[in-house]
Amino acid sequence: MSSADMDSRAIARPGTSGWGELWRKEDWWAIWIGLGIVLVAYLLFAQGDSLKWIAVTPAKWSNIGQLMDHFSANILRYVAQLGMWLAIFTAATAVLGHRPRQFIPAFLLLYVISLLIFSLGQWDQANKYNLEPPLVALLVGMLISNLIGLPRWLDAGFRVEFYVKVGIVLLGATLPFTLIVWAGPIAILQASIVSITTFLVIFWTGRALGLDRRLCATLGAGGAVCGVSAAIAIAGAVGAKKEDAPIAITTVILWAIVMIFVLPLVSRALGLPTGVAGAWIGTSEFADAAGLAAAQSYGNLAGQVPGIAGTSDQAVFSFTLMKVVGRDVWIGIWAFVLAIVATTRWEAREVGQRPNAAQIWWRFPKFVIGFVIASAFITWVTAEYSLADYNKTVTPVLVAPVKDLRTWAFIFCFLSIGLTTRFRELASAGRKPFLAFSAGVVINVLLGFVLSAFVFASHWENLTR
Amino acid sequence: MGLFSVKARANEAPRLVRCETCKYFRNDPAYIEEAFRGLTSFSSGYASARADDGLCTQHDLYLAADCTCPRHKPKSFFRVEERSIR
Repeated sequence: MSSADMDSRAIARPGTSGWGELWRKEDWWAIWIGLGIVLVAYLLFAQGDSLKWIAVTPAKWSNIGQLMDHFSANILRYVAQLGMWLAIFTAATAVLGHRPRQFIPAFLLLYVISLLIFSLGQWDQANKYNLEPPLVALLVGMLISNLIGLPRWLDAGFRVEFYVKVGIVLLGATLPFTLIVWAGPIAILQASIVSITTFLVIFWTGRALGLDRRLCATLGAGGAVCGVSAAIAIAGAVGAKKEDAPIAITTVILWAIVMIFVLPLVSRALGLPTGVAGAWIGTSEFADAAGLAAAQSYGNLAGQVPGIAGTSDQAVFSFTLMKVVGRDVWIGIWAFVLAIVATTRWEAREVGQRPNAAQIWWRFPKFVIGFVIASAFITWVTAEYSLADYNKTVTPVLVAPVKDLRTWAFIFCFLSIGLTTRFRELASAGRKPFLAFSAGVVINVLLGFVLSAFVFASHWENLTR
Repeated sequence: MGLFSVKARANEAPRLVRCETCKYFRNDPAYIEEAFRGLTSFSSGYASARADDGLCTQHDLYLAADCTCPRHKPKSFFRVEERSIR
C-alpha cells in the first residue's frame, strides 16, 4: 500500500463497538460462517443427507498414481469446495473492506498450495520424514515469503486470524459441550496461574531493565494472554507509544514460531500423552494459530509413533480449552484492569482516559461465542443417540465433514502464517524488551509443563475418554 | 440541531470529545495493519480484541477511541458540516 493509499484510508472509523461490530469485525464473520456451515451440515443430516460430498480431503496414498486417481475421481468435488470457500470468504472480506480483485487470486494461490500440502501429509511415509501438514505449511509459507517474495497486495487473502477463528468455531461442533463444562474450570485455573505469573515476570524484568511501564505491560500481555492480539489490545488500553506495539509483535512472533517446533519436539522426546501435550502447548504458546499448528502436528503422531498415547483430537481439544477458554476470553479484563492502573498509578499524560468496564465486552474475542454455541448445538441435537449410534451414524455423516472443513480452515491459517511472516519487515525489538519477554517465556514453559504433566496430568490425559 | 450540538461540544468543551472524532486519530484496520508490520502474522486489525483503538499522529501514541485530549481537532467531516451550515 502506498503512503498516498495509507493517507486516504487513514480516517478514523466510526465506532464499531456497537451493532456495527456484527459486520465490521472478523470475529463475528467467523461466527456467521462457522455456525452457518454447522447449521447446513445438521439440516442435511436431518434429511438423511450429508455435507461430506463437498468436504472432500485428499485420501491416503502410497504412490503418485493413487493420488492422481483420487483427484481425477473427485475433481468436481474439489472445484465445488473451492467455489464454496471463495464465495463465503470473498463476501465476508469484501464487507470488512478488502478488495475482491485482490482477495480472489490470493485465495486461489492459498488453496492450491494448501491442497498440495494436505496431499503430502496423506502420503503413507509422511510421518517417517516428519512431514506434518501444519509444520510443512508454515515452512513452505516462510520460504516463499522470505526467499521468493510475493506482492503485498496478496496479503488480502492470507488472513491468519480469520481462518483460525472459523476453524475454532467449526471445532466447537466436534467438541462435546459437556467436555467444555467439565474441563473448563481446570483450564481456567491452570491458565490463570501461568498467565499472572508470566505477566508479572515480564513486567518486573522489563522494569528492572529500565523499560517504560506501558511497554512492559504490552510485552507482558503478549506473553501471558493471547500473543499479538493481547499485546495490541493492552497497548491501546494503557496508551502505549506508537513503537511499543511493533516491539511486542516482533518478540511474540519470534518466540511463537520457535515454540511451534520446540514444544512438539520436546513432547515427542518425553513421550507425553497427546492430551497433556495439548494442555502444555495451550498454556505456553503465544498465539492461537501457532499453538494449533503445534498441537495438531503433535496430535497427528498419535497412533503413528510408538509411545505416544492418546488421540489427535485430545491434543487439539485440550489445547483449545486451555488457550481459548483458559486464556483468550480474559483479555477484556486484563485491558480494563491495566487501564485503571495506567490511569491512576502511572505518570499522567495530556491524553486521558476514564477506564470503562464496557471494554471487557468490546475486547472479548467474540468467536468464542460461536465455538460454544456450535458445541452446545451439536451436543443438543445428538443427545438422543446412544454412544454406539453416535459413532456409527452421527460421526461419519455429521461430525466428520465438519471436522474435514475445519482441517482445511486450519491449513489455510498455517500457510498464511508463513506467507505473512517477513522477517526483514519486522521492527527491531531491542535487546532489553527481548530479554524481558524471554524471562517470561522460560517461566511460562516450565510452569506450564509442571502443571500439565504433573499437577493436572490425569485430567488432561483422560480428556474425552 | 444535531450537527450544531456536535459543533458546540467540539468548540466549547474539547476535553470531553473522544479521540475517535479527532483528525489526528487513525484507526482504520487496514491502516493499523500497515503501520504495525507483522500484526497479521498472528493477529488482525479487524479483531474484536483491538476494539476501536487507533494511532494518534500528534502524540505518536496508540490509544483507545474513548480517550480525550485538550488538543483535539475535529475531523474534516465536522468542518465541512460547519461550512454547509453557514
